[in-house]
Amino acid sequence: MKNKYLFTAVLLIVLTAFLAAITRVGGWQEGRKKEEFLVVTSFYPVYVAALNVTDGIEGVQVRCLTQPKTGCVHDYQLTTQDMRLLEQADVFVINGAGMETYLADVTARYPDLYVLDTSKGTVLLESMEDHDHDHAGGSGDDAHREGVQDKHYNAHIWMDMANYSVQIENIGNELGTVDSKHRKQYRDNADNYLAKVQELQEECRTLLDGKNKSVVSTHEAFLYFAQNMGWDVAKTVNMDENTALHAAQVNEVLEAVQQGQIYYLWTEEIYGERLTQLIQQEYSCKTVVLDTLVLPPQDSKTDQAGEKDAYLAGMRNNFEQIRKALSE
Amino acid sequence: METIYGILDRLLPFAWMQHTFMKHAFLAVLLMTPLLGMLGTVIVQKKMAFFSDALGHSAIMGIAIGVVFGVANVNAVMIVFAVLFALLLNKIEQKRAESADTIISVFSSCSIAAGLMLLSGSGNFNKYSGLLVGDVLSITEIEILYLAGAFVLALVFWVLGFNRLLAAGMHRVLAKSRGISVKLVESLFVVLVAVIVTISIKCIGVLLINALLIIPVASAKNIAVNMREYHFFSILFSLFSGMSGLIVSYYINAATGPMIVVIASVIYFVTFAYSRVE
Repeated sequence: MKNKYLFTAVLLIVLTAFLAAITRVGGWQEGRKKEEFLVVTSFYPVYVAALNVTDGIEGVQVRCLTQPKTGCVHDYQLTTQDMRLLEQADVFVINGAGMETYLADVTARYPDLYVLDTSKGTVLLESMEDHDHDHAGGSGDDAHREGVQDKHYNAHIWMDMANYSVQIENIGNELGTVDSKHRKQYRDNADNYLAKVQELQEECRTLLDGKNKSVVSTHEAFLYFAQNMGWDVAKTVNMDENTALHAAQVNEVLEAVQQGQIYYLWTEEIYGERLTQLIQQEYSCKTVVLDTLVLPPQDSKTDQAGEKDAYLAGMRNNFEQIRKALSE
Repeated sequence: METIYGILDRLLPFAWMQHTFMKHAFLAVLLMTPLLGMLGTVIVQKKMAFFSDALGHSAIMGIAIGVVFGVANVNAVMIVFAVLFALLLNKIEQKRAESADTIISVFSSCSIAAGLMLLSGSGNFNKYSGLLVGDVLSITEIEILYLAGAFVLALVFWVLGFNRLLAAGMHRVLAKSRGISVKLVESLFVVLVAVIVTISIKCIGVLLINALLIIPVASAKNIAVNMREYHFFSILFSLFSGMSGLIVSYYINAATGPMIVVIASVIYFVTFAYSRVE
């Protein structure tokens, strides 16, 4: 009789000690030095932009909320680690235009957190997604966002280099306002990076000008990319990244290719191979695998220096893919 | 709420307790796990493990109904649906004892399928994947109030009805002859289970909610010899798994529900080994 209680007590104590040991090993790192100015970004494209704007400034740290492997954040759920990071943040840099569906949660929990919406002043395309399937989150309470209450916008604005420049501008300006002692450095960095993006834009022009084609795309993000290059997207079949290919969607793509006599299909890497197989059985349509730039390049090192140029490198690679397809 | 937070801050001045969302989760687990441990004793006793599993899974349908009809308070829809579903299942079980588990399986599969169909209708089920494994961050004060309400209800029911429920579980006819309204007691019990399971789902997740009803109780059964011990160990194991699971998952950034269940399972295996040795 007594043994039983003793046994239970020992069991629970041993378990507690074991679990405590796990938490020690489990990569628990305590925040940051207090005097640092912490900029937290919502996901990869704005992270890269913020890295460039804050480059080389002492005492300013940029951290990305989502894990790099998360990709698009439409349906992202905040983790406990994210909440800890946000609690320490001085500024929360978001993409905006409805990309961060969890934003209402964040602002409700941390009403004092400065939210830097980079989409201010960008040219937004309307979302083609239906209402249950939108970035602004159709489910009741999280749908209320400043300015975009009723309309749903295509949130992949960074894919348009003109919009991306506006985002950089916004980050530069507002960080300068919040952290005024580094205002000039933010300004200079932003100008530097803007010049690089401008250069990229020029490259795009010389490479692809006058070669406008009609394409079918499988991701809303490419609409901005096409808009930027002056190409015409005949049809977008929006496939959600994380779900498997649906037969109905493949059929839609095939129909669009057939009806429009279209020879180019823009798609993402995860669909590239299978869609190519499916389509080339019947049509002579080229699939061009493009990157939506929401993930760090696979060969990049994890240090921030390597990630700073991820956007520029990713875009150049996209141009190269299109050029290759055109010249084939 | 503020006063409770103040007390928590004073009593438990740990790093993980600083955050409001962890306070919410802590309170939810503190209320939820003893309840599940307590209800579980009867569920295991009456061999209703499959019943409660079906009930947990059917929550998906409740969510789908809430989402499709755009009801603002999805919690309420889930609870109402679960209660109706529980009463329906209970009716089946009382009527046709022979093939009850087959029929329960049909109803629960149908409910899961219809729920998944409705939720995936718009092409992305991802949004709801949090429901499958639970999400501690989604717990708000409302859920805690619901849980507190359920806690009080369950205590009242236990004090007034537990003996009757136990009698009904052991021998229906004898219980009836003693003037116990078996059907009423059983119906009240399944309604209670439905309500508590539904509220707990947000934290633990649809896939694992049943584990918390069953595993701590099964562990307790390994070592308890009477009803009092049975309850005591069940509630103790449940509470321990819940608390340690919550804290560990916070530090190693894992989903809370699965963490709790893993710890509960470890306890089960150790107590099982102990019971063999004894």
